[in-house]
Amino acid sequence: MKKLVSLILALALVLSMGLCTAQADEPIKIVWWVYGSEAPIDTQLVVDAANAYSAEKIGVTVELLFLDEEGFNREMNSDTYFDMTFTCDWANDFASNAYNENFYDITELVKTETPALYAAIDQKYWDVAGSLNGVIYAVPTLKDMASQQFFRMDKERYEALGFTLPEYIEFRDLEPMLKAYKETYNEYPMAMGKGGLTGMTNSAQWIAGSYLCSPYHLAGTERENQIIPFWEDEVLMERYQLLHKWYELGYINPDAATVESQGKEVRTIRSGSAWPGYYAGHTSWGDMEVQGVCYAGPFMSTATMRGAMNAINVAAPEKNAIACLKYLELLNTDRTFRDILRFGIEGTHFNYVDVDGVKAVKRTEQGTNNWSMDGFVTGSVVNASVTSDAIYHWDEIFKGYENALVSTLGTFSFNKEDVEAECAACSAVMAKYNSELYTGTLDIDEMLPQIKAELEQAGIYEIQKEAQRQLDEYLGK
Amino acid sequence: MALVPIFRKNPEEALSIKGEAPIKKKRRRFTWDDFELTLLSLPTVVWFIAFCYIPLFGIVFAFKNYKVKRGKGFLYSLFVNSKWVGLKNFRFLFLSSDIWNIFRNTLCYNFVFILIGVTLPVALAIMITQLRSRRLAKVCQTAVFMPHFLSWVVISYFVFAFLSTDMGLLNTIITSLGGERIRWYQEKAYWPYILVFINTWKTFGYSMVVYMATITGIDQSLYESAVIDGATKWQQCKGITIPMLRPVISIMFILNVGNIFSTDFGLFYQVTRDSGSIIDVTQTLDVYVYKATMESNNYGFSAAASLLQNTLGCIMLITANLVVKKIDPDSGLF
Repeated sequence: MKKLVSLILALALVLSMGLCTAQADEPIKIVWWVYGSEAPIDTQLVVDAANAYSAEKIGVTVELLFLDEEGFNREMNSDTYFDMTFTCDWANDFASNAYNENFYDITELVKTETPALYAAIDQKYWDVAGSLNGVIYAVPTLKDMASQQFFRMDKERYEALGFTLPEYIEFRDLEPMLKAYKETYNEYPMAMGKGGLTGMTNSAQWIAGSYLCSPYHLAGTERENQIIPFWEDEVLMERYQLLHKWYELGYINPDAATVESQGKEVRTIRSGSAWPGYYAGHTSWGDMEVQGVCYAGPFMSTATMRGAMNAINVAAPEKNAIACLKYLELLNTDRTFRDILRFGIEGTHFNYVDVDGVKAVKRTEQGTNNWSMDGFVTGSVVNASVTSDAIYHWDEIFKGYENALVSTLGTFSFNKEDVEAECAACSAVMAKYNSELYTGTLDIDEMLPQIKAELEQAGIYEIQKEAQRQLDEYLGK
Repeated sequence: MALVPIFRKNPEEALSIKGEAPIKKKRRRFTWDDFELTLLSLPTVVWFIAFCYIPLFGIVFAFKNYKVKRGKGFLYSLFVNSKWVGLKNFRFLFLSSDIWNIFRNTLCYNFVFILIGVTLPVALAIMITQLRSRRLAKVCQTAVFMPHFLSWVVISYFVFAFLSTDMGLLNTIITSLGGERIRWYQEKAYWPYILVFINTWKTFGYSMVVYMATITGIDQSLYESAVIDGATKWQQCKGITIPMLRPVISIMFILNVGNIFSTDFGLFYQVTRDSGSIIDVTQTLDVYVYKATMESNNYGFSAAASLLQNTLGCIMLITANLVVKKIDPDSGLF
């Protein structure tokens, strides 16, 4: 009897092993959370195409889930299973997730399992962006790695007014242009929504909320490596003052602080983080010819390099972790594959065209409408083809980063754990004023004493002290 | 009017005249009728257990520094992985220099809402039931009830269409009459009135229907005998309708008092478009908690705030019930 049982058990073992090996041929399916408020219409179509390709190449397929800031917070707090997730400095915060041990330690794995991926990304991005205290937790997405702020300006109208649009402009030097524009066209030259000029505050590395920062321009001065409240940053304060002046002069729409954003049809100056060559030619936004005029940067810090990354769930089995890395490796090294996730299916969503010897992508209408998202969402921007409306060369852009103003804070990441209540209270104070500061609605000179008093009560100086202590400790290492 | 008990007493017992001992003492039996009624109550009971009693353990959040341990599940994360922090989660509420402002707004708005919510719908319900044309009464009722179905986001856009500084209807009228534009979303003075008006417009239709239903249920013979005795409409209203409405009014009142520390987030956040200049008169506890926890995403803080709200609300509810019962022993909720 015993023999029979052991025989059956042995048989079962052999059979299950046989089944296992049979399963090994099946592609591994990984769940990948990416950034986006909703899934584009053709998601299933494109993901199927991508899965067919990746299953054949590396034996991995994905299930793509789109989450926005709040979605990430919710899912990360509820232990929902994922294999790989988008993480960065501005959504699904990398540092706090890494401090909370939510991410897989890939320090060794990435070197041994996916050497090509490790080589494709510059060492400094692994060190500064993907690591926390020397442990690699995330794979940086290669895109614009520095923060550079641009005005997207109406080329036709400003040239008609007799201005030549420069490559670089000081924020304050915009004033005569705004004045002439307002007088001639009687429209708001700087119409905006409650978010204000996007990227305007990026001249500083933000340590906590929109109240504690370390401005890039202080690097190399005696005030470097200091964490200061926003009102001690002269550059930012000047911008707030100018905006208020322009608001009073009628260059900014009076509703700015209460409207969500300006519609696509509005012809106005917009601002954003970009890179040289990004804003060029015709845009459907306002239906005009535009030119990008840089007004700040390039700056580099953990914040800018952590603009987009992918991390692996600490609870994922090792074979899934390796599958994720292999998948990212393919995205970083295989342009055909990268273009599928970036632009869709060739012939359906886009076609390759030749622009001055560069193989570029021209989207079809279906591509523009049904599979459109920011470039960083599904992986490396650098490894994807450029679109035919704006041709730029990433190696040149990366070369430009050699002149970037680099933060002296290194890989420092503030751990807010001990001052969380103060941070929450300060955020609530700033939430009251942010949209009015960003749109110039509020007179900063008049209101600053009150804002200061409220922040002090909320404990801004305790946070500052704690942050400075952590920074000094880090720099002392 | 008392709430109908779910378990009926033994019919014989019920029939026995008050004050006299029952003719024959019988053990209460679980009858078929009782079974049917129990079955009827089952969905509600299950609903309450699933959505009101089981989640109660979430109160633990308020005293924990909640940290997820990935792959271990929610209960492990909450009870094993998260440290007890005592009352620390409540601290962030009191770090704000606005906290007294916030409490004042929360309480004052709710006080006004309750006051209006008790008087206006009752008055209108009585007026509408007095209308001779049934058709007109129905039209009025529907028109008043409609805003109840609109979401606050939609309403916030309606309001913006009226109040926008640039293109708003009101400012267009003001400027065409030669006046100066008003920056509505930056002027504190108007907002208490605007908010009270909008809230009343949206919500009173609903409570009006509750009162109208009660009025329709009043025994018509009371009015007939009153008319025979020569009572005027006003006397009928004062002597019959309002006394008959009293239990419903007091129940609605007590329930509203229980919510006095909570406010409608939609009204105070969406309708004001979160405008910073007017926040001194518009920020309530819910809005503050939302803003404070937006960035830190700390469940403990939100749990602490709502625990505070609910505890204070519960105390208020019990007090209100006691007060109402003192005034009129039959009108209490429990």
